[in-house]
Amino acid sequence: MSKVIEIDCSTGVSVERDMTEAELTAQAAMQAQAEADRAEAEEAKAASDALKASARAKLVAGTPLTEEEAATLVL
Amino acid sequence: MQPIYTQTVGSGGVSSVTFNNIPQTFTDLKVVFSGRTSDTGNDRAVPFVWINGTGDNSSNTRLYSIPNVATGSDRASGGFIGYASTATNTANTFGSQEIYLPNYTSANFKQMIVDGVSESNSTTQVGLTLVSVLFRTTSAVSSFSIISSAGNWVQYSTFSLYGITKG
Repeated sequence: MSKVIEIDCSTGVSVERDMTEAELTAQAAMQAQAEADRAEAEEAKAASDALKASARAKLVAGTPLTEEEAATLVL
Repeated sequence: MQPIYTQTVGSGGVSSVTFNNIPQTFTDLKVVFSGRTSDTGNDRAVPFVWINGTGDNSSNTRLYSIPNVATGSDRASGGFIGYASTATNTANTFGSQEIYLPNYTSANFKQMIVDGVSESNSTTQVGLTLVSVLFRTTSAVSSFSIISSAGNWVQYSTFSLYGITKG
Protein backbone atom coordinates (compact mmCIF):
# COMPACT_ATOMS: atom_id res chain seq x y z
CA MET A 1 0.00 0.00 0.00
CA SER A 2 1.33 3.43 -0.92
CA LYS A 3 2.00 5.78 1.93
CA VAL A 4 1.55 9.49 2.44
CA ILE A 5 3.21 11.87 4.87
CA GLU A 6 1.05 14.47 6.57
CA ILE A 7 2.62 17.33 8.50
CA ASP A 8 0.63 19.39 10.99
CA CYS A 9 2.31 22.77 10.65
CA SER A 10 0.66 24.02 13.84
CA THR A 11 2.32 21.33 15.96
CA GLY A 12 5.28 20.27 13.84
CA VAL A 13 4.13 16.66 14.03
CA SER A 14 4.66 14.50 10.94
CA VAL A 15 2.77 11.21 10.49
CA GLU A 16 2.84 8.53 7.80
CA ARG A 17 -0.36 6.72 6.80
CA ASP A 18 -1.72 4.51 4.00
CA MET A 19 -3.27 6.18 0.97
CA THR A 20 -7.06 6.13 0.86
CA GLU A 21 -8.93 4.54 -2.05
CA ALA A 22 -9.97 8.01 -3.22
CA GLU A 23 -6.36 9.16 -3.23
CA LEU A 24 -5.27 6.06 -5.16
CA THR A 25 -8.00 6.61 -7.75
CA ALA A 26 -7.10 10.27 -8.17
CA GLN A 27 -3.42 9.43 -8.52
CA ALA A 28 -4.16 6.80 -11.20
CA ALA A 29 -6.24 9.28 -13.18
CA MET A 30 -3.50 11.90 -13.04
CA GLN A 31 -0.92 9.33 -14.04
CA ALA A 32 -2.97 8.41 -17.12
CA GLN A 33 -3.32 12.07 -18.05
CA ALA A 34 0.40 12.70 -17.57
CA GLU A 35 1.19 9.78 -19.85
CA ALA A 36 -1.20 11.02 -22.53
CA ASP A 37 0.29 14.53 -22.37
CA ARG A 38 3.79 13.13 -22.59
CA ALA A 39 2.99 10.94 -25.62
CA GLU A 40 1.27 13.83 -27.38
CA ALA A 41 4.27 16.14 -26.91
CA GLU A 42 6.73 13.54 -28.15
CA GLU A 43 4.59 12.63 -31.16
CA ALA A 44 4.27 16.30 -32.11
CA LYS A 45 8.04 16.74 -31.92
CA ALA A 46 8.63 13.60 -34.02
CA ALA A 47 6.13 14.76 -36.65
CA SER A 48 7.71 18.19 -36.81
CA ASP A 49 11.19 16.70 -37.15
CA ALA A 50 10.00 14.43 -39.97
CA LEU A 51 8.47 17.36 -41.85
CA LYS A 52 11.66 19.39 -41.50
CA ALA A 53 13.80 16.49 -42.72
CA SER A 54 11.53 15.98 -45.70
CA ALA A 55 11.57 19.70 -46.51
CA ARG A 56 15.34 19.79 -46.28
CA ALA A 57 15.71 16.79 -48.58
CA LYS A 58 13.35 18.28 -51.14
CA LEU A 59 15.19 21.60 -51.11
CA VAL A 60 18.48 19.84 -51.74
CA ALA A 61 16.92 17.78 -54.53
CA GLY A 62 15.16 20.79 -56.01
CA THR A 63 11.71 19.26 -55.80
CA PRO A 64 8.55 21.14 -54.73
CA LEU A 65 7.68 21.29 -51.03
CA THR A 66 4.21 20.72 -49.65
CA GLU A 67 2.51 23.61 -47.82
CA GLU A 68 3.17 21.84 -44.49
CA GLU A 69 6.85 21.35 -45.27
CA ALA A 70 7.26 24.97 -46.36
CA ALA A 71 5.67 26.10 -43.11
CA THR A 72 8.46 24.44 -41.14
CA LEU A 73 11.03 26.63 -42.92
CA VAL A 74 9.23 29.96 -43.39
CA LEU A 75 7.64 31.91 -40.56
CA MET B 1 11.05 34.42 4.28
CA GLN B 2 10.46 32.15 7.26
CA PRO B 3 10.83 28.38 7.23
CA ILE B 4 7.64 26.61 8.35
CA TYR B 5 8.60 22.95 7.98
CA THR B 6 11.00 20.68 6.07
CA GLN B 7 10.21 17.02 5.47
CA THR B 8 12.71 14.48 4.19
CA VAL B 9 11.32 11.18 2.92
CA GLY B 10 12.48 8.04 4.69
CA SER B 11 13.63 4.68 3.38
CA GLY B 12 10.21 3.32 2.44
CA GLY B 13 9.24 6.19 0.15
CA VAL B 14 5.84 7.89 0.00
CA SER B 15 3.41 8.86 -2.74
CA SER B 16 2.71 12.30 -1.39
CA VAL B 17 3.70 14.88 1.17
CA THR B 18 1.01 17.15 2.65
CA PHE B 19 1.44 20.25 4.77
CA ASN B 20 -1.71 20.70 6.88
CA ASN B 21 -2.79 23.55 9.16
CA ILE B 22 -0.61 26.04 7.32
CA PRO B 23 -0.38 29.28 9.32
CA GLN B 24 -2.60 32.01 7.88
CA THR B 25 -0.32 34.80 9.02
CA PHE B 26 1.93 35.22 5.96
CA THR B 27 1.33 36.99 2.66
CA ASP B 28 2.70 34.35 0.29
CA LEU B 29 3.86 30.73 0.44
CA LYS B 30 6.82 29.09 -1.19
CA VAL B 31 7.47 25.36 -1.54
CA VAL B 32 10.90 24.16 -2.56
CA PHE B 33 11.67 20.52 -3.10
CA SER B 34 14.30 18.13 -4.31
CA GLY B 35 12.51 15.08 -5.67
CA ARG B 36 13.10 11.74 -7.33
CA THR B 37 10.43 9.09 -7.89
CA SER B 38 10.64 5.31 -8.04
CA ASP B 39 8.92 5.28 -11.45
CA THR B 40 10.84 2.99 -13.81
CA GLY B 41 8.65 3.65 -16.86
CA ASN B 42 9.68 7.20 -17.70
CA ASP B 43 12.82 9.30 -17.60
CA ARG B 44 10.99 12.24 -16.05
CA ALA B 45 8.18 12.44 -13.55
CA VAL B 46 5.22 14.80 -13.81
CA PRO B 47 4.05 15.35 -10.23
CA PHE B 48 1.01 17.39 -9.31
CA VAL B 49 -0.27 19.44 -6.38
CA TRP B 50 -3.52 19.66 -4.47
CA ILE B 51 -4.67 22.42 -2.21
CA ASN B 52 -7.07 21.88 0.67
CA GLY B 53 -7.21 18.16 -0.06
CA THR B 54 -8.36 18.29 -3.67
CA GLY B 55 -7.21 18.85 -7.21
CA ASP B 56 -10.70 19.81 -8.38
CA ASN B 57 -11.09 22.98 -10.45
CA SER B 58 -7.42 23.23 -11.27
CA SER B 59 -5.55 23.63 -14.54
CA ASN B 60 -2.05 24.27 -15.75
CA THR B 61 -0.23 25.97 -18.61
CA ARG B 62 3.29 24.75 -19.32
CA LEU B 63 6.38 25.68 -21.24
CA TYR B 64 8.54 22.57 -21.43
CA SER B 65 11.77 21.43 -23.01
CA ILE B 66 13.35 18.01 -23.07
CA PRO B 67 16.38 18.63 -25.27
CA ASN B 68 16.37 16.46 -28.41
CA VAL B 69 12.98 14.98 -27.48
CA ALA B 70 10.28 17.63 -27.24
CA THR B 71 9.92 21.35 -26.73
CA GLY B 72 6.69 23.26 -26.62
CA SER B 73 3.80 24.47 -24.57
CA ASP B 74 0.41 23.09 -23.61
CA ARG B 75 -2.57 23.54 -21.34
CA ALA B 76 -4.30 20.82 -19.37
CA SER B 77 -6.60 20.26 -16.44
CA GLY B 78 -5.11 19.31 -13.11
CA GLY B 79 -2.40 20.80 -10.96
CA PHE B 80 0.58 19.37 -12.79
CA ILE B 81 3.84 21.06 -11.90
CA GLY B 82 7.37 20.74 -13.30
CA TYR B 83 9.44 17.69 -14.07
CA ALA B 84 11.15 15.62 -11.39
CA SER B 85 13.73 12.86 -11.73
CA THR B 86 12.84 9.16 -11.78
CA ALA B 87 14.48 5.80 -11.16
CA THR B 88 15.60 5.67 -14.79
CA ASN B 89 17.89 8.67 -14.23
CA THR B 90 21.46 8.40 -13.02
CA ALA B 91 21.64 7.24 -9.40
CA ASN B 92 21.68 9.97 -6.77
CA THR B 93 20.29 12.66 -9.08
CA PHE B 94 17.21 14.57 -7.97
CA GLY B 95 15.06 17.14 -9.72
CA SER B 96 14.51 20.58 -8.23
CA GLN B 97 11.32 22.60 -8.08
CA GLU B 98 10.19 25.91 -6.69
CA ILE B 99 6.52 26.77 -6.27
CA TYR B 100 5.46 30.31 -5.42
CA LEU B 101 1.89 30.86 -4.23
CA PRO B 102 1.03 34.52 -3.62
CA ASN B 103 -1.91 35.79 -1.55
CA TYR B 104 -2.82 32.32 -0.33
CA THR B 105 -5.33 33.61 2.22
CA SER B 106 -7.24 35.82 -0.21
CA ALA B 107 -10.75 35.22 -1.53
CA ASN B 108 -9.46 35.27 -5.12
CA PHE B 109 -8.56 32.23 -7.21
CA LYS B 110 -5.15 30.79 -6.33
CA GLN B 111 -2.49 31.05 -8.99
CA MET B 112 1.02 29.71 -8.57
CA ILE B 113 4.18 29.86 -10.63
CA VAL B 114 6.36 26.77 -10.74
CA ASP B 115 9.79 26.24 -12.21
CA GLY B 116 11.17 22.74 -12.23
CA VAL B 117 13.92 20.64 -13.70
CA SER B 118 14.60 16.94 -13.71
CA GLU B 119 18.25 15.96 -13.54
CA SER B 120 20.16 12.92 -14.73
CA ASN B 121 23.80 14.01 -15.00
CA SER B 122 23.71 13.07 -18.68
CA THR B 123 23.30 14.74 -22.04
CA THR B 124 19.78 13.38 -22.31
CA GLN B 125 16.95 12.76 -19.85
CA VAL B 126 16.91 16.33 -18.61
CA GLY B 127 13.60 18.17 -18.59
CA LEU B 128 12.93 21.85 -17.93
CA THR B 129 9.56 23.37 -17.19
CA LEU B 130 7.94 26.67 -16.35
CA VAL B 131 4.35 26.18 -15.25
CA SER B 132 1.41 28.34 -14.29
CA VAL B 133 -1.10 26.48 -12.10
CA LEU B 134 -4.53 27.86 -11.28
CA PHE B 135 -6.93 26.59 -8.61
CA ARG B 136 -10.40 28.06 -8.97
CA THR B 137 -11.15 28.27 -5.30
CA THR B 138 -11.83 31.32 -3.16
CA SER B 139 -10.96 29.51 0.07
CA ALA B 140 -7.74 30.30 1.89
CA VAL B 141 -5.05 27.67 1.45
CA SER B 142 -4.60 25.71 4.67
CA SER B 143 -3.31 22.46 3.16
CA PHE B 144 -0.84 21.82 0.34
CA SER B 145 0.09 18.41 -1.13
CA ILE B 146 2.84 17.44 -3.56
CA ILE B 147 1.95 14.11 -5.17
CA SER B 148 3.95 11.78 -7.39
CA SER B 149 1.91 10.75 -10.43
CA ALA B 150 3.76 7.42 -10.72
CA GLY B 151 5.67 5.56 -8.06
CA ASN B 152 6.83 6.98 -4.76
CA TRP B 153 8.99 9.90 -3.77
CA VAL B 154 12.15 8.05 -2.83
CA GLN B 155 14.32 8.35 0.24
CA TYR B 156 16.07 11.72 0.65
CA SER B 157 13.48 13.59 -1.41
CA THR B 158 13.09 16.78 0.62
CA PHE B 159 10.14 19.18 0.77
CA SER B 160 10.30 22.59 2.45
CA LEU B 161 7.50 25.07 3.09
CA TYR B 162 8.22 28.76 3.67
CA GLY B 163 6.05 31.70 4.59
CA ILE B 164 6.73 35.14 3.14
CA THR B 165 5.44 38.39 4.61
CA LYS B 166 5.17 41.54 2.53
CA GLY B 167 7.82 44.08 3.40
